Amino acid sequence: MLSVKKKVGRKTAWYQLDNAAKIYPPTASEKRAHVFCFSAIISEEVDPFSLREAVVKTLAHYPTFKTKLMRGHFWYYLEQNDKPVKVFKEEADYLNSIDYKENNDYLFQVLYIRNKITVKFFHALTDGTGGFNFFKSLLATYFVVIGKSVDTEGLIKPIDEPATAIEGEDSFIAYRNQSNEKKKKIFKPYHIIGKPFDYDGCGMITAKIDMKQLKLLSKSAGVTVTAYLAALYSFSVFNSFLKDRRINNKLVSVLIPCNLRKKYGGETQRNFTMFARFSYDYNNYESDMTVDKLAEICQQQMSEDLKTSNLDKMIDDNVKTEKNFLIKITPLPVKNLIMRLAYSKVGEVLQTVNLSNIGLTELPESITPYIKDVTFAIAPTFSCNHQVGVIGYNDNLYVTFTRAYVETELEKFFIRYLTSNGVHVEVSSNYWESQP
Amino acid sequence: MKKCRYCKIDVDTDKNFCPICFNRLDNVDETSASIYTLRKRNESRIKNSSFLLKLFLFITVVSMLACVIVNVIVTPQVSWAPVVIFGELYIWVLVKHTIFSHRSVFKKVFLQVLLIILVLVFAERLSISDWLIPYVYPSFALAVVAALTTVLLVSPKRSEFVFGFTIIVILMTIVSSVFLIFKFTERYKLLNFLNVAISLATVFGYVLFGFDSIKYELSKKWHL
Repeated sequence: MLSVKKKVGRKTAWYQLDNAAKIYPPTASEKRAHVFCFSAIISEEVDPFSLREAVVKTLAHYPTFKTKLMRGHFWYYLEQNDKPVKVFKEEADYLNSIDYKENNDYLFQVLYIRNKITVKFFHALTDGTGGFNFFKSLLATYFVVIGKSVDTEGLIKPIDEPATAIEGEDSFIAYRNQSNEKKKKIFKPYHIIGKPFDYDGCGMITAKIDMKQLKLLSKSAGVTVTAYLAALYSFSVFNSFLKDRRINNKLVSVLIPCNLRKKYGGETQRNFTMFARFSYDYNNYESDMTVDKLAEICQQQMSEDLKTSNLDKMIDDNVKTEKNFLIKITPLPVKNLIMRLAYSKVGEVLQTVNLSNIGLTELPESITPYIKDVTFAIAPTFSCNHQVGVIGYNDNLYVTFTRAYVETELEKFFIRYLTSNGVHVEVSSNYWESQP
Repeated sequence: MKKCRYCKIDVDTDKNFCPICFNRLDNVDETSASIYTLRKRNESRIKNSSFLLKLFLFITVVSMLACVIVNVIVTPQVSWAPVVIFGELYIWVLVKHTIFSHRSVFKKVFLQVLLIILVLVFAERLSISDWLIPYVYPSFALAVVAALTTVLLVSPKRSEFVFGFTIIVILMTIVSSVFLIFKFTERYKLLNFLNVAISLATVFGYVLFGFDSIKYELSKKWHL
């Protein structure tokens, strides 16, 4: 059953927020923006007028993106937004919360500077996969607008293909299965404590890693690239902040979002993600512990968390909560308070860091010559002040570290570990720690 | 492209030091097309604390306390301080919620109606006047009904407003009914009766002529 309620004609179209999106509006703030962004470095300078035209054309095929967030009496919802869409020149601290008033209420923002295009999304609108689909369509449309010949080659939604109802569905409800699986207990992990910046914004460091060399490393450990990176990330947290320190809680938990479309199918452009968690208590650390051993543990934990029965349980629990009669009839202001409280107990507080891997990007051959680099970044928050976004493109893996504090010890360990193992790494930074 | 000999990495930057270890970089190639364009942070985003808001809040709280103290010491037989406090709170809501906000018309009107009802009941209970419930409230309610109906008749956005206005009129009907049923006043009841009758007729009219809009707004705002 589709939960999307769409009415067109005299009345504007509107959509219920999907199950996962419901938590984002009440818990979002300046210091917890719930935003992520995709950027592409293209071969020529961006023309803002063409970019705007491309956004308008792309939006016509992504109706759930052409919306604004509205407050109902019991729930937030998305309503068709007829205001003109704008493109903005990228500011130095662009990975902050979206100024919705300035952005004509759209929940995504298109930015450009020189030869770089960035699209920033509020998580209530979509997840990484949905956002990246939109981003790819926007890039393809932009190249069409500036006069390039583009063939989507089945890798991107065809530019003229109309939107379908499936793309706007709440897949959590569509693919929900009842589950009696036992709930796993999650312990509160260590949280990184660093010196916060004296000003707004976050530190961003992107490591462009040779994919083949990294794959060799992960293969030698017998694990996937994601498991290997998660293990190295966890080990970097330990070595940078916990090793030889008198800290009682040395449990490091890496949250790894997983795209459920691969498991359940569906083509929704909205949120359809669940999480695997790699937790390791470094109080049990032995000196012979290696990244390879950690990666094995991580792979096991990920496989366990991503078992269909466990995913069914998590989806079922979330949908049950949403469908609970008492919750349904609770007025929105009260619900917001409850959600904020619940999020502070069972939200980001249960993770040390977050590693989100979009996977290998396949772009049509007709546009790859114009796209040099693609990156994915997640805004850090006050309760999860270090995050990593990973995306693969053109034999490179782009690992973007975002942090809300000055120190770069974690990045140093992570990158030096790779280079000491013969992996070629090229680094870019916004040098936020040395801002005047 | 530059090189950091300590981290063994290539660094794409105009700066002279490594972003990871902050050691000096070796120049290899001057050409650079970094993912991050280095600029100064945008000063305009650094927000000043809302000094004026805090100042007004301070003045409000101090004046409230002063009123209570003066009332208790000088005229303990007449409790007028609550009226001043309520008035000040009302001004805060009026300014913050109604004048300087982007809330919907429904929310602004609904809260104002609710507050004015509270003010009247509060003043009546304090025995400031005994004609607020029998005369002022129903007259106010009838005026609101007339104003809302006029807006619905002339506004091109009437389909957006009708649901919210129906709720407001229902609220005012309920309040008049409560006054009558629980005998808030033994005096002149006709205006409250009149308000109940006219408001019910108005609600019926709104529902009859705006059924589709109300149904649509209900499904949207209540997810029915």
